[in-house]
Amino acid sequence: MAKMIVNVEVNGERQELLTEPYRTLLDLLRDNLSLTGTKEGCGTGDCGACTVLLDGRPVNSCLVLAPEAEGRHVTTVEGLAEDNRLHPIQTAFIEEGGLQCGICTPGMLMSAVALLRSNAEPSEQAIRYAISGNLCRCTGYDKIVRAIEVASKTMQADAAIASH
Amino acid sequence: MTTTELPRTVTEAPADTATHVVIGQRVAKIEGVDKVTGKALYGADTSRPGMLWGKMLPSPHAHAMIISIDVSAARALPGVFAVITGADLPTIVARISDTDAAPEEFDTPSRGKQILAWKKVVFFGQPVAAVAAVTQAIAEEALTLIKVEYSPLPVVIDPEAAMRPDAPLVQNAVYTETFSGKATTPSNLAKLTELSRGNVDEAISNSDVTVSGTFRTAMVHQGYIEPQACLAEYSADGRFTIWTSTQGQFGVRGGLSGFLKIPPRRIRVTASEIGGGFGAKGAMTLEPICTLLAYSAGRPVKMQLTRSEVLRATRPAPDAVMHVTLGARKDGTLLGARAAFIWDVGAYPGGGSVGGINCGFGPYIVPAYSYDGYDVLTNRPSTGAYRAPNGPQGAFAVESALDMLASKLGMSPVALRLKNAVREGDRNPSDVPYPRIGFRETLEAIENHPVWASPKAASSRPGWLRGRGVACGLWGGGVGTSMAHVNIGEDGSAVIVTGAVDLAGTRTTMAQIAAEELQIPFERVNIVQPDTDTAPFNNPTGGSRITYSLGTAVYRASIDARTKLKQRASQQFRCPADEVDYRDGEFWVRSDPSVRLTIGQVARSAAGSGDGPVVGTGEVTHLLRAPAFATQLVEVEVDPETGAVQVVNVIAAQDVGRAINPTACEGQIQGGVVQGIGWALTEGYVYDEQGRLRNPGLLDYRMPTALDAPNIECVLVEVPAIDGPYGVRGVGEVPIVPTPAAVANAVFDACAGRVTSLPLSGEPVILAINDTKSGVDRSQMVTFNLGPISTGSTGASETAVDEPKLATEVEDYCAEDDVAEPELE
Repeated sequence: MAKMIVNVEVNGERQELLTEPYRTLLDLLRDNLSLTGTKEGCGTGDCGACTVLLDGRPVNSCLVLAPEAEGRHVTTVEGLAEDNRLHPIQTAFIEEGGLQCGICTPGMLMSAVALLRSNAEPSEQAIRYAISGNLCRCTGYDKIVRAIEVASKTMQADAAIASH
Repeated sequence: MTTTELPRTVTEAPADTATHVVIGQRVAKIEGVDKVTGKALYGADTSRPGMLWGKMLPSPHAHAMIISIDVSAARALPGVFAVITGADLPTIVARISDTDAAPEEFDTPSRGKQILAWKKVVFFGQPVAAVAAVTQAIAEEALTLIKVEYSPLPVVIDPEAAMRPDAPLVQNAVYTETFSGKATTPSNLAKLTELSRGNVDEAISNSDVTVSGTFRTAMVHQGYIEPQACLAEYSADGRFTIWTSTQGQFGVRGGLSGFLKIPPRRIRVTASEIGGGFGAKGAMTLEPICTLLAYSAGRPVKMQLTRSEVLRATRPAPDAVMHVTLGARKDGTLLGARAAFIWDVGAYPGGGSVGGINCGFGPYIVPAYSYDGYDVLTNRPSTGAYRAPNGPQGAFAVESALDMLASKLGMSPVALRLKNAVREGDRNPSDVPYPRIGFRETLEAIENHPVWASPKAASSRPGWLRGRGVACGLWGGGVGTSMAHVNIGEDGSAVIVTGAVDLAGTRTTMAQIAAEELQIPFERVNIVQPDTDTAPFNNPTGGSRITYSLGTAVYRASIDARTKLKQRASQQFRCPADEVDYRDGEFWVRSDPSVRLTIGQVARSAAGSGDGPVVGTGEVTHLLRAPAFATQLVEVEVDPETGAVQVVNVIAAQDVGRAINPTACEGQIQGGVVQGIGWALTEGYVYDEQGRLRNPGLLDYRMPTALDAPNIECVLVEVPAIDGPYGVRGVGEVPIVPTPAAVANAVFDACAGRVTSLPLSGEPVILAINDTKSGVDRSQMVTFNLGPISTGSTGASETAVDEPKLATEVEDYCAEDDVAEPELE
């Protein structure tokens, strides 16, 4: 099958990628761009390990065909830290024990970021709902929920400081 | 001599918590930054120039003869570099090893040797051929071009059916192993384990009250989110280089060495960051095939299992049919127990009865018992280790039966367990005595917890019924061989070098131990886990052994480093070493504390002109075991109309010996509990009559999500172990053991329906409620007759069932021994 060019912005950088049309956004990220932070856990959209933000919305990148990414903006876990400083959600995960083996963590972080951008002070139920598409087998979710709660408080405090 | 008088291995480690600076602190995960930024490299995250992709062709039949395999069209497809089948294995291995590899060796009923099916397939999805090609798409296309002619055979997928004399034989060369020898005719009963003490018939008949039940659990998967992945490369110097997601790099090296018939020095294995293992990745899966493909293709080969391959063709936990009878006095004292545990171990031997028996009955004093364990072959994937292997199944049966007994006696379930709880010196079903343990303390923690001590809360969901249930569990605790080096840097830092995989956060705990003993800030300690060429030898990670065993090695290495530093400081001070004092990173001569040298200064000087750089070493091969116990209280809400069950709260009390990092301990407990909840409510393999797996995907193999998991409160009980550093005990496996039973007991409390078969959510709850209403008792003791098992010497028919498994497979040292451990003088 003939290859095609997909133009997509990834973590703020424009990329021009060569791919067969049947490959997925996950393949583009991991294989074309060597951004292996996003993981493949199932390939069928059931585990959320491949979650990235597509135009700000959390999606299972294993279910997004490469051509669908044309002209869009993608944010992966590699794009969360800025100027070598961790995003508050990343810091909170480390400090609260919100990760163990870490394989679900990139996807979890992206879902959490999307949640906190739309809901600055989510309830526990809202948090659990937002990450219900991200399977974790190590933590039992308890400390992930705490980490997201802590991050939401930190981000609100940062925003309050910034607005003064 | 009581067990507390046995000599401790690590006598200087202070148990007094007030003196600890880093031990006991909730320090942040040392590799946290790499994991939250996507920099950590897991099994599928590396590549090599010229790399090919490997894929395997699965069998569509659960049981069939392979009449022929034609790979010519696949080989001819452009972009395909290698195609191998089971029949090729002897030739390839002979070439690699420059030996005459006898073909019969690859035709034995051993999952480790039969990495590709040869003359017949024995489970649905068993790999039959493997290809390596330039892209995944070409490899997949090549698979479709492989023509396999099968002749289907009758399928057996139920272990009780498989034990009948007319059942189809899964393997032609498996002879029942018993304590008195091996049988002489092949059978699906791979192993019979019989443990007994006293006169159980008399004990049962003397009992005031008896309960009997038949309990069933389904085959479940460990559910690690990272599928197995491997990258193998062969170079002209005859060496293989392997990158793989594994629980033990030395185990893979040893296993490949055995399989390929080459010395270990020709193999270098690096363990990637591991995305979950839970016991499963203690056995090799992809490594042998990936290695053979790399050799045959002459290029590096990468393989990654799909999720359906993970579910169909790796090593799930066995399902079990368990018949249990308990007899007790009316004050609750257990007098006797009879049990038959039937394990469906899948298509190859291995899988072990004893763990389930020792976990199930191990927490209780049972004066007279007869426990039989049957390891039965069926046309399902060969089973493996899943976090406290066979413990959750065994505990489900025994803890449910105890609940039934408490109900019959009108006794509190906690009080019944306290009455019969084992103490130090009591013996487990394998007749091994317990050292100091903290079981009663976990029961008391639950008994005194407000959620148990107060009246039951009302249901939060209208129309739903609330219930609470209790169950207990234990894990014997593994030891194994561990070794660590501690390299002291010229800036006063330390790097721990070890060849054990971090499966559960132990990197951080090891760094805490080194920081504590070197008396330097935690931030100055780093830890690396390099490959088998550069790391000291370690057994694979599993059996809850790392904090205990590797912790001892790191402790010893840290003390060794400190001793060497002190010796070098004394050279620089020009005084005898015993006049040098040390505290918090500084050395001084006792008679003149005003002159100080830091660790960094000592290390720098010594490297330049003294006795040289400092590396501390520590190793351990034997410690006394440190069993860990847990008691869990689970609260559920049940919808009596649909049978839906929501776990709304869990209190998990566990004896951790000494919590080096409480956050890490809690995380392990919470993770195990939620796996247990999945096991109880929604997880289970579904096979059709042809032995095909109907739910090889994460939509229908339903693991808990964040919405299914409750808040889990952890009560860390600390009863120090009698050996190892600080009194620490392994934490990782115990938490899953009680949970399925606690959930079932809570469901009974909620709706009076006793579900005896897992997974239980939905219809099973409705049926149980209806049974209770109509007075039907489905839990009956089923007696069955195996007929005589002929044993005796087997002569030439004894086949070598040794598989080239990991050097010390997880199951070897995490399952209880069949004989009592030798007592030390």
